[in-house]
Amino acid sequence: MTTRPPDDLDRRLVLATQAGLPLVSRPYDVLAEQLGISPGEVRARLADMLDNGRIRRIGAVPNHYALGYTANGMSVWDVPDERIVELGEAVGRLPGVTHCYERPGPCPTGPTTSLPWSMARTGRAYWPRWKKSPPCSAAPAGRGTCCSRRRF
Amino acid sequence: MSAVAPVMDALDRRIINALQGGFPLSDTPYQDVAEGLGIDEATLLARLQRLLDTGVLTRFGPMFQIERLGGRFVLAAQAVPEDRFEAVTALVNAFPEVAHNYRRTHRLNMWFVLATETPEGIGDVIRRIETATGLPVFAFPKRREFFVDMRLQA
Repeated sequence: MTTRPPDDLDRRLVLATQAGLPLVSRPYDVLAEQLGISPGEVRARLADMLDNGRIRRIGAVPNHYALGYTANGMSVWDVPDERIVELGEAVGRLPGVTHCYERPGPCPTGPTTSLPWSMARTGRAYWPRWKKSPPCSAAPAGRGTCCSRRRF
Repeated sequence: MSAVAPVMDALDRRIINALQGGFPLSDTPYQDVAEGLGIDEATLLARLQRLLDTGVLTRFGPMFQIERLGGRFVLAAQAVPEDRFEAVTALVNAFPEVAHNYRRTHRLNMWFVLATETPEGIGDVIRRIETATGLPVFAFPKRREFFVDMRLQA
């Protein structure tokens, strides 16, 4: 499947919706007017951007603290290259994990290859559970390193 | 209503849960969502506005995968001396490229995400932050994404 390169309309749609979708009955009509195209073209382009992953989703972004998710922790694991996909996908499937990436980096505490990020509503951090769960304990030298305290 | 802790009722929670994805690309999407929730469109719009005004929602709209549009996000960290923490926080947060900034309990005690419109912009902003703070910035660019889903049950 070929994917077209990002174009000016993609960029203008990002700018037009950066502050959010208009809170009016016909939001796509408002965007169409701003962009000088038809509402149908706006919707078709948004559908296209959802299909090709340029838009992850259209929806609400809650402030997790306001929803009562008071704890979040970040952990960094040193994972052997040959197991990165297996372990990254396994950690990504654990409940409470909201992000999981491979990040090669000059971590001063050691090589960094995978970085899951979790959130627990109860204040009980998830990362000690990862430590005990089979995928992570199987990772040599795997260790969680960070836990958050507060946000600015 | 308290100005400090926004009070949410059951309808607010249902609205937040219903709106975390799959927003319709129809002529009247709010009307369609409202119908699914058994409320009218005006109620939904007013509730959404209030959730945004009180900070329960930080945003409502398309969430862009900025890398697929040519931009870059990079996670970065600094080891900030405790006695300079507040001053460095102010310096770092003054950069418009800083998307989030968290204090974390680790030797690298400040973690932020940098967002730039081009890949080349990242190196530039890192150098400017290092100059402004006098501290090295450790960058952790993403090589692969295994999972990202910030949908949270309200």
